[in-house]
Amino acid sequence: MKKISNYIPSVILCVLLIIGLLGTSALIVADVRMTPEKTIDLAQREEIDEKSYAAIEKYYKEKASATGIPSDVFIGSITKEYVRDVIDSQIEATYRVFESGRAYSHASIPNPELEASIEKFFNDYADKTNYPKDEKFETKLKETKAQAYKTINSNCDIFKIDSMQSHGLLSKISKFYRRKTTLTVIAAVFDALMIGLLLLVNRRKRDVLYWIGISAAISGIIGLIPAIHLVRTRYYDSFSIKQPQVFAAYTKMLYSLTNTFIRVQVLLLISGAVFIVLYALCCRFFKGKIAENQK
Amino acid sequence: MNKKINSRSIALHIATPFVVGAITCGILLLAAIKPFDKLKVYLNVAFMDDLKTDPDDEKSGLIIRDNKIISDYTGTTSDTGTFIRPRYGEMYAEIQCEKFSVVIPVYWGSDIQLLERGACQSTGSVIAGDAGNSVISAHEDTFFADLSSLEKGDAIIIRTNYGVFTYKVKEKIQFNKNDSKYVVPSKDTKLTLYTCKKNVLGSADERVGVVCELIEKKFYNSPAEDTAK
Repeated sequence: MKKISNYIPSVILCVLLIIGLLGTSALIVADVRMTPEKTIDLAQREEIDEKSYAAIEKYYKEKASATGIPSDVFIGSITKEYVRDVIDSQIEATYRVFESGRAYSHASIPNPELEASIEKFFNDYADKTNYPKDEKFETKLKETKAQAYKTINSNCDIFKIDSMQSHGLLSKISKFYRRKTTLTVIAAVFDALMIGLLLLVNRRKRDVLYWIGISAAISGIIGLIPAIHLVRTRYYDSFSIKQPQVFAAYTKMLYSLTNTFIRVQVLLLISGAVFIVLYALCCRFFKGKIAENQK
Repeated sequence: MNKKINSRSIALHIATPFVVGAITCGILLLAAIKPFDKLKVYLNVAFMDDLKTDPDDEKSGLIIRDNKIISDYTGTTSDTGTFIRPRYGEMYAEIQCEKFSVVIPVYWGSDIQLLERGACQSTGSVIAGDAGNSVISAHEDTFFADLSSLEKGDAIIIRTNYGVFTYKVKEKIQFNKNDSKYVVPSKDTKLTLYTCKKNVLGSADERVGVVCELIEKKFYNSPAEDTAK
């Protein structure tokens, strides 16, 4: 290790290995955590459906005076289970978009009770005021039902996928998502290549234990420091997102990803320490053998 | 002698992780600058919301209003219509172009805080679709990072809540910040987009951009509909 011809290439390979390990750990976290099942599980654990339901309730209570339609017409037939189903189906539709790269489209989940409630209100109102149930009436009824589904879908769109699509971001996320497993494999191969080159460069093969050890340890530390800072300072809570359910969805998802990343970095740090200890033991072992031979 | 070699070896073993760590941190910090700027753009565009106000804005008196711009209008359009004049700090349009990586929000007014959120339109210029010069600027490392990739003939679409307007790049321009030739009002209807010229060292005195001509107007309402109402 003391020879410049070994030392400098080893330092360069070590730097590359650290960057490779950081990339690999981030990609592993994304590969493992970004699945529809885990996302749905997160949404259910954090009770995001409650927040969406509260937002829908608030919307209809505020709109009641402007539209003349009492909020109970809508809220009475929208259950929390229905809201949860809509959220889950939107999450699944989102991942289908990520996998296929096609445009996001989400069919509304039919709610017969809601439609019946709106129809009843309209019919009762028409009967009370002798309003003719003509084509205009039917159009208005149809529009109200469509708007109700639009409102529910919008409030259940907890990751603002519609908005991301209209701003051109969804295609970028989809590009990355479709390649994440490939990228993870490439990153792992890169790390293996760096280790292979370290073996090639170092005459004393036990020195590779040292280089791998410090690479893993430094990679762990570099990843841990900002990740712990983000969690400790509750950084994601500073996102100014108006809708509580969207805020909760994003911040919880980001905290979950960051916590998983921290766990991976801790593992890296421990592995690095193990390799360094192994190197120290090897050095002592070989020094002992040399001293014995000299005797 | 052996002791000296041993202590040097130990010192090397201890110092190496710090050297490697410092080199790696330096490389990562340098490499993260551009992606971080891009991420800020994406975060800003993704989390736009109605009536989102920043606590700092209240001190400055600036009220920033993010609006949802219609992107899926399916009704009839016409080439004449009514403009919806925005207020200062209001997001009133979106710029869409194949060569831009994101759809860029356009705020009415030029302000440091507004430039962090999107492109800014000079209040001395005319709003999109109106007769005259519409002048829009943005930071070169964020929203207008792809401006220099525009070529003559490229289409730029400006969506507003009163209509959608298509412009075509007519010429690429470069001017000094003190030269107002391209940003003054004009009789002919055009769109001027500009940003600072990339300059690693020193301040950016040069501006680069494009001048575009209006080729299509589609108003969502017509004056006739309004009078009928």
